[in-house]
Amino acid sequence: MNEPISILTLILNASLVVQIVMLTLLLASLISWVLIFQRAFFVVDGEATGD
Amino acid sequence: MKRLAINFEDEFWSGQDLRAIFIEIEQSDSEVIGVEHLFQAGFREFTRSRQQYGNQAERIMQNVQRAMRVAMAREEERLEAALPFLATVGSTSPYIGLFGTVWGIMNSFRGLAMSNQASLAVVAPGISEALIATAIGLFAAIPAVIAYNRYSAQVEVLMNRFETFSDEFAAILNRSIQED
Repeated sequence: MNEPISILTLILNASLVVQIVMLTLLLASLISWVLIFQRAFFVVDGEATGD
Repeated sequence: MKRLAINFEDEFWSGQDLRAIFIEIEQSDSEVIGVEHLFQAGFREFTRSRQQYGNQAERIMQNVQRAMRVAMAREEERLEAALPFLATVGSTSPYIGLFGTVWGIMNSFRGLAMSNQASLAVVAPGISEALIATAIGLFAAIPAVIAYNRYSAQVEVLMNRFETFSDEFAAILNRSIQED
């Protein structure tokens, strides 16, 4: 019990509800990043105008 | 997906013949977006109405302005496409994470109630595990909120720009009718 438990084992041992919540959130985060990068590439020019 | 505003406006104000610019746009294969799209819609309507109504400036300008408004609405739709999702993630994922945490802590306390020797070591892993859910929730929410704010500000700037451009362009076209 003196060894710190790794986060991965904690996640794997979590109850089903908590695991589903985590999975949903990771998915949401992933999709947001995809959208963020898509946008970053196409508004580049509008942004470059500065004003 | 580049020429959204600046490049095209440079070209537009360089004094080049508008018809030449229009033909160039019509012939290019890439998708027409931004100010270029407004110009294309406006100029196409202008040539069409000009043939039909000749010198009735008011009527022609009405059609041109309507065409540009439609193009602007399309652009706005495109620009705002990702925003609702980011807003939803930004506002709900902390709550979802919190829900996971509450649920996990609830369970680990239930486990504590059933065991007869109550020590911190029994509940600690459960609580730690549950807190990860909140952490992930915040991890998802923070970038989404930042991106949402940034992009909605950008949309506003661009829409203002589009509006200014379409007014200026309408003025130019109007003058060209009156000069004839």
